[in-house]
Amino acid sequence: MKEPRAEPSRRDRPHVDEARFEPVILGFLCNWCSYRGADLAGTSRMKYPPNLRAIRVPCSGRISPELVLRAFREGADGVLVLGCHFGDCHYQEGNYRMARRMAVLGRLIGYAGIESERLGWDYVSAAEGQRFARLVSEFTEGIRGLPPIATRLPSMDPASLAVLPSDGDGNASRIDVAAEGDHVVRAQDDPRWDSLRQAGAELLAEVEGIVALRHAHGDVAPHLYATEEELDDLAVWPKYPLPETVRLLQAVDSEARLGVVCRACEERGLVEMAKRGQVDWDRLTLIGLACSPDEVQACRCSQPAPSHAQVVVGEPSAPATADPVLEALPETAEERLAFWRYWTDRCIKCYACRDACPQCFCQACALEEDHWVERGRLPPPFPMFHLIKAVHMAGKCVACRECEMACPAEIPLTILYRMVNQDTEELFGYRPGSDLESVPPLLLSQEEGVGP
Amino acid sequence: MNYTSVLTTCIYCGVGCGMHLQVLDGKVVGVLPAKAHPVSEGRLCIKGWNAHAFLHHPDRLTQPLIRKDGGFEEAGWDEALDLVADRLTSIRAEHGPDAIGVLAPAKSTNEANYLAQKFARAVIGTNNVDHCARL
Repeated sequence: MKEPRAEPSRRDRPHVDEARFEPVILGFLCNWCSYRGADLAGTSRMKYPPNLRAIRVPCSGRISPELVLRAFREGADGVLVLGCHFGDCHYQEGNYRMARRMAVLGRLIGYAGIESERLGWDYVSAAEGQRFARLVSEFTEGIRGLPPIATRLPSMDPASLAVLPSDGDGNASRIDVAAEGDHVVRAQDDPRWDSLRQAGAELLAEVEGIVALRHAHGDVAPHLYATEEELDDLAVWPKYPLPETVRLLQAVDSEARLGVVCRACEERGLVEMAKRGQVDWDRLTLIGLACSPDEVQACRCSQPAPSHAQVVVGEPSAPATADPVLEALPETAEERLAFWRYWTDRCIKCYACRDACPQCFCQACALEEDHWVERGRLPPPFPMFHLIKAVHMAGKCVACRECEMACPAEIPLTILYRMVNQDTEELFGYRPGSDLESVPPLLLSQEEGVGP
Repeated sequence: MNYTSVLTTCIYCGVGCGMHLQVLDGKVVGVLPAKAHPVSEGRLCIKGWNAHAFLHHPDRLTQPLIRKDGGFEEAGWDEALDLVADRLTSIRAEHGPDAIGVLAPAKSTNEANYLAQKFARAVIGTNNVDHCARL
């Protein structure tokens, strides 16, 4: 087997001294403006701290969240991304992309217990040597005020594993993230069943098949209904990632007209997938299924009412007012880090969170690439695996909770996804799954108002 | 187009997690965890999530191969089983029953494993029985 990668190296650090901490700062400088700005600062003999290790990149838009996270993982105390001013990008829109990504990533690392201030981004033109020197000085001073990253991301030695406050019996506080899986309601007893069957029978006249849950052999799973008689086996709970099933079927037969019985979260999932070309919305007919109050509670759902389907079966329930799991996230960076180290160190890297996620459909998955997530290493080193997944969920996660329900380690994954999507809404006014028209923010380019 | 889910038990280890094979037009295309299953309660490990991968894999052996002249040649089941029976009989006659061991897979059912040990003890006459889950 391959040797695990060495622990983050601190060899580049000028010297580590409690009294005078010299942070290592990694700078990603765009070739066309910021790097020239740095050049100008140098040739003009301007003074700025030597802590910055500059890496010249073709465009700041090239800086993926994975690169930033890896920098932290490798021991950078701060990461500074510098690009051209808005409107000056050599490639038109790279710096807009950078600004959007960094805005989201900066907040995300904060939720994970790595201080948001460790990620900086700004704009420097080729003529702004002075500005470059000032930005680097200010950023370095800011980072100097934080503890060294090595104390934040210590080695994966189990002895260093932070433990959550115990419940008094020595057991770490347990968070109940998963919806109860073992109550398969006898479907026909469900008050929604008759109208669901009727809606299905009516729709079958117009479509080639209906994707819905089926009760068989004491369990429930997705099925493609083709005849009315089959509808006797219709089931409503536990839910499954039906948007993924729709994607699978449409990939085989792109012409087929399909119906799908979907909950509000699955509707949202289909909307996001349609925007990204994963499902053909125009060939789908939706039967909305309003979740029962029990189901809403089990999923801690804040948006349980279907809004896209023409026909909705069942009475929409009130949204869950509180999310106890979300409230479990501590306030300070130190506590947050301890919280996530505790949970993510339970990870068995089974990829269930990705496999169960209808929004994870990339051909090549960053979580399988050795340079982002080291192979042959368990648990996957924090923060790479879980934060990469989380940042990919920005503007995408529809809170269906399939990931949490599938996680054998019961990691409260959706805390990060929910927080990052609250930010996406606040920053860009984008709420995943709400409508078919708005363009997901991380793909958008020319937008003003996102600055450092 | 025909799509359904078939409830089954994961074949990878002795835990016996419940899973649904997703069957699309007669081909198994994916796995979903069985959420109401009493053992696994909707969870699978990485092997379970990929348990469908070998089913239609081109590298999968679909018929017996017999080693001849340093290479493998395709053979029929009768020929293969006759050869195994002949060789087991002759090894047992020449070196005794303890020259033979039986390795049973954790992936098999309880009943198949029972048969495997029965075969070892009653037919071959040895207690050399082991299984891969002890590796």
